[in-house]
Amino acid sequence: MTKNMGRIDQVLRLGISIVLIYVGFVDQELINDHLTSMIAGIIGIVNLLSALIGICPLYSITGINTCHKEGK
Amino acid sequence: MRLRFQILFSVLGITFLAQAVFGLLAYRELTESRGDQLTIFLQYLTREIAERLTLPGNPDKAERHLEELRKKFSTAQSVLLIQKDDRIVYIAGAEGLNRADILPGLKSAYSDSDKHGMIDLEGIQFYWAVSQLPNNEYELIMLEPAGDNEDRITSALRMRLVSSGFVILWMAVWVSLILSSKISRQLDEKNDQLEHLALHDNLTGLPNRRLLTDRLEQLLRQSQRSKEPFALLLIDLDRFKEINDTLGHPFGDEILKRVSSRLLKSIREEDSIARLGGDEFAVLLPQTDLQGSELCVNRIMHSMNAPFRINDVSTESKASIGIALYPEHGESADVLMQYADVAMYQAKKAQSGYAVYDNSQNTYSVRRLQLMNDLRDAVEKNEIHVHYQPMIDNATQQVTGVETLARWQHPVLGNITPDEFITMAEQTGQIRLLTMQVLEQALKDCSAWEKLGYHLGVSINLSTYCLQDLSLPEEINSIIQRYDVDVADVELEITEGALMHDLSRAGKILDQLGNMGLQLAIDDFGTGFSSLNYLKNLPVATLKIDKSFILDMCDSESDNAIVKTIIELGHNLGCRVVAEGIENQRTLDSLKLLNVDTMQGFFYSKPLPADRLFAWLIEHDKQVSVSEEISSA
Repeated sequence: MTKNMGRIDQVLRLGISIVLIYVGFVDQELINDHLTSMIAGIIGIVNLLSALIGICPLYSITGINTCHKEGK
Repeated sequence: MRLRFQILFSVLGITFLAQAVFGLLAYRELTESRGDQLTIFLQYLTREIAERLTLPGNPDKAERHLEELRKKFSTAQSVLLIQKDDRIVYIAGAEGLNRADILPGLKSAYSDSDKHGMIDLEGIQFYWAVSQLPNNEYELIMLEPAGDNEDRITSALRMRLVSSGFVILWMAVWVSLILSSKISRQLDEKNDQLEHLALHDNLTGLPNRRLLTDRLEQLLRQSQRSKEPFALLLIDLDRFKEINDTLGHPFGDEILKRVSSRLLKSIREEDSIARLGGDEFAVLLPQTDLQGSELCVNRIMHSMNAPFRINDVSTESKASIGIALYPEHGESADVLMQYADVAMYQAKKAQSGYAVYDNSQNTYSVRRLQLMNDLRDAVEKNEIHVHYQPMIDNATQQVTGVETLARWQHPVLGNITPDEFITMAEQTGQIRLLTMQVLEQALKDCSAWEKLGYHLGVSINLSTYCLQDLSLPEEINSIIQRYDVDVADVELEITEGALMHDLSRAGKILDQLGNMGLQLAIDDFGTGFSSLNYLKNLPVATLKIDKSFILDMCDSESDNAIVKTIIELGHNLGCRVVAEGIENQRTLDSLKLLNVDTMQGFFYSKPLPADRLFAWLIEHDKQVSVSEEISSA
């Protein structure tokens, strides 16, 4: 699979992932609901992985490529 | 893109609606079930208390335990009390409440059947629940301010709704994206299919003329930049029309498919091939000069050598290929196509398999191409005119019949000789339609003369190509029926060459025509190469001596001898002998001496249109009667 995520996309996802993992696993008091924080954490981990390798599986399915928009 | 947004918004709308309904249901469920929850909690507590009470131990410890459970399950403002006979035995919480008012207030609210509900104590709404201890003496009662609970519920609900809202929204966005990309992909596929259909030939799957023209223009631009040559080949199958007519269209289609696969195997990967229509194909050879294109042509011709075997019928169809080269011959798509076409006709004419476009033959061939196109129109619009040349009986000098001759007056190029346009009609397959048109016109005129008192036979020339068509007798018969002409008055002239082509098939058709009662004549007799065998086997009634012998018979002894021999041969076989091409009195006199049966030529009349022929007939009758009077006097 080829990369389909642009640099800006990756940075944004990295930021969102860190926030989600923090509220999901590190400070569970922030969301006073176990189920919700677990979901947030799991989404955060998946998003982080996809941001790190620069490939989003959903992008591949839908044919979106944020690399192009940056004139790469 | 519009579709994508439509899907996105509709999915988002459904999501928000679902989220709202979900929230409402969850809220009602949470509030309504609070009483049940309290009851369940109390039932649990009663079990706990029953166990504690039966066990010896520290009552303080038991109380602390109850207090812990209360706070854990409910809020600090909740009240837990145990009563016996309307007396409070134990109470926890209830700060700010008048303890004495609690029991009477409760008594009015609950009956025996209810286990939980809501009451108003000192202006505050409370959930209440009751449970009896197993010994039935003590009752456990729990009160919880509804306001506290509502805060708890709304905060829990808000959190759940917000987080589930985000997840659902996120999923909805992706679902809509996936959905729209799937739809757009399907649309793209459909579009591709349609485009493919528009640019390809249905039968063979090869590109069609439109795509070829497009590719040719692209290649032209490329080659102009890179200064590289390329070649355009036009391929036409020989005898394809014949195959189609005799073996049927499905057979012809199958041959076209086989030809296209053979062609595909003979070209390189970068070459492109197209079917232009009918039996015409084109090949585009990029970066190819004369030598390269000749190599390719040889491969193609080699591949076409093997016969096509379809349903146990084996047939051969060679190809004629015309080559036009860029930039030598032309630098535009139209010119190259035209020149390749010219070269192809040259190849067809010379039967050489292939021909490279030759500039020196250009004027002739371009004219020819134009004529071919115009001929098609002329035949379809019935613009070919019919002229008649009278045939005169030697003994009586009466006109016995007329030979029908086709004439084409081209609007721009003037009079086109029959030699030229008949060959073209044969090559383009128009000959059959043309023959039938001429026959129809001749029979129409013949029946008109009959009504005017002139009984004349009609001779029609039949092309070699017509003699390959098994449906010919049927068609001729239907035309004769239509004009109510005596079959014996119709004579079909064929050349010896026609018989050489495929005697078994032609013989069958001629036999059929003979059986119908039609007269058969051998035209241009003496110039062919065939044996005299067919004279014996075929129902031939007339021999027409070729005019080349007649023209010189007075000056050349050998021609004279030939004419004499043919007349004798014809008479011995019981045939009528016609001499055509009589141009002067001397020739006429010698032929009279040789006892020829019928005479025809410019000396009597050139071929005339129907109206002028009629005038000529009246004039001729007058002359004949005058000469008869003179001779009788």
